[in-house]
Amino acid sequence: MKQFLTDLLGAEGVLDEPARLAAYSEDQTEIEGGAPALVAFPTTTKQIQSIVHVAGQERTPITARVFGTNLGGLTVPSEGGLVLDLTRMNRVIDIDREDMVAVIEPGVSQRILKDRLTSEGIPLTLGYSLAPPDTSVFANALMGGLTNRSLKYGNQAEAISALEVVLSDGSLAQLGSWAVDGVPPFGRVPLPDLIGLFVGWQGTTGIATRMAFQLWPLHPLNRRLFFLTYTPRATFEAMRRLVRTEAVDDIGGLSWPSGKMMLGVPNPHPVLGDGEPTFFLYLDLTAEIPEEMAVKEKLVQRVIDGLRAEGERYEGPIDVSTLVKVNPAMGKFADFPTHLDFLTDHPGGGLTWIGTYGPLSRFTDAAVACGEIMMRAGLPPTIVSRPMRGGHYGVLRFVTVFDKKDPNDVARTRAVNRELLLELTNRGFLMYKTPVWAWNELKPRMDPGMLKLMGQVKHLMDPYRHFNPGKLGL
Amino acid sequence: MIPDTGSPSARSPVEVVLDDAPRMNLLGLLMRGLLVTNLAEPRLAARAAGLRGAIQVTAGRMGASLTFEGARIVVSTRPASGPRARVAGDMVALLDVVARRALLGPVLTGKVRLGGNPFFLLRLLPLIRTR
Repeated sequence: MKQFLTDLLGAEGVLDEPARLAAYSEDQTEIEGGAPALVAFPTTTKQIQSIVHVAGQERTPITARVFGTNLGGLTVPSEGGLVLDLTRMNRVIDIDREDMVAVIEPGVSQRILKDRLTSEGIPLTLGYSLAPPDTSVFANALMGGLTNRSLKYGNQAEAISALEVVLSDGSLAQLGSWAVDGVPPFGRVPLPDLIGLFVGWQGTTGIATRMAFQLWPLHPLNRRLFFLTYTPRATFEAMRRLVRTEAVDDIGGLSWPSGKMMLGVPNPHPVLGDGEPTFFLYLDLTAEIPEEMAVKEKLVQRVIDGLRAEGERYEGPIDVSTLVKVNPAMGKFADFPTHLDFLTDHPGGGLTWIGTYGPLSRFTDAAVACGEIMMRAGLPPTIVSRPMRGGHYGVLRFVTVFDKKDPNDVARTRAVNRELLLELTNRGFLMYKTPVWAWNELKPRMDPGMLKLMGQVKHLMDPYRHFNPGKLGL
Repeated sequence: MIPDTGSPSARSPVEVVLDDAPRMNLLGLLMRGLLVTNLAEPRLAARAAGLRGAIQVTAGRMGASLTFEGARIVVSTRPASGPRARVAGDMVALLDVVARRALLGPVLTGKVRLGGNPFFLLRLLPLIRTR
């Protein structure tokens, strides 16, 4: 395999030094690593096709990855397997301003795409995740991740309008509206939606090499407002009512530990002090003209005033620019994409979460119950929440930073994560970017028909069982 | 106590320390950040170094004290004993004072309440307002 890869990619396209391979063997989570035998750096689709074909013949497991920032162990390779590092495939191939579509390669990060749009003065934007700027747009979309446009447009997979994929035998398939020659990538419908065979499958059905990705209008006026809230109900009821005004582009509810970590306390005490806000609620408003912004602000104020009349307490609105003036650390929340280094660069090096999607109606009780689980374990209840897709569901995520070098801390983290997963599943939430251990917990609860179908699809798409083996617990 | 290292005030003659950092509240953390930024300015650092005594700040139901001890300023959630000045208001009003440099309006409308030694407060004010 090494010789084949060297002949195909050149010596600079193959890595086999153990010291450098170590960086690919694990991620920031508590999930156990696996040491790959080789890492390959293809730069073209044809190269990937050749690699997949040969790996299939040799039954070599392949894990395709970009920047490895997912927190589900999804790019932890099989022991002795091959990692395809796709970061060198980082071209923005095309941006169609009229139909608002970008065609991108896997290695296109949030930063790359934003810079391209900005430098060319293109009045379009994409949704940004809270992952670092050097996170793959492509990968987040394939995993159905969320962004700051998810309130309006759903998870990022819903922005995929066409996809090019390498199948298990090395052949290529064009999906979505690319399936018909000469048709531009306007959408996944009306043909049978085979893009779904690659969304949420965590790299186990093939390797996507090119994506048509929908962009959204960039409005000239933007405001980010913060409210301090003092109960979970105040937070999530505001969220639910604000969603229904359809005036807000993004709403985030972050519990108090996030704010403290951002302001320089790496390990906040698990128990909140008297009089402190429990959540920060931020709202993004955009508009074409000032009058539109004024109306949106009025709608927001009406919701908040209504809740105040019901006895809930809010401090705000506070413009993010005010917070940044007072404490520059708040600048991490001033613009997206952002680098939440207080999470990613935590002294202990460990970062993990249980991130779930579920109905907004259940957020308050779930947040309280899961917050208590974290506090009982001695952890501050670090919660990130956002409504998505018009409020039909949202993300409720419980984040833990930990010391990867401390076995006791790792054990505690695993135990808390398991308890959180069970609690959230019982309350009607489903984990996304799901690690293998979580799949193993979920499978006994899954519909046999769904499992059967997943197995059949997996067998069809991956007869050699070499695409990111085991990542779906199948 | 956690001092500020690696921050602008690390070069300042005045150090800002958090009393019981894991339990520090949002108000204290915001004030700490503001002080660290301002103390990078030598003129303000010199002013801080010359101050002795405490100010009690209350935002809503959150309280934090700043105790000036010459070479350091201690930010604490424990109420200052015998503060030389007091400032109280809701968070929004206090942020307005700090960030927008407006003082008279919020005070006159009662959104911000001042107490204690006005001279101490006036000397201290530039340290807790944005530049």
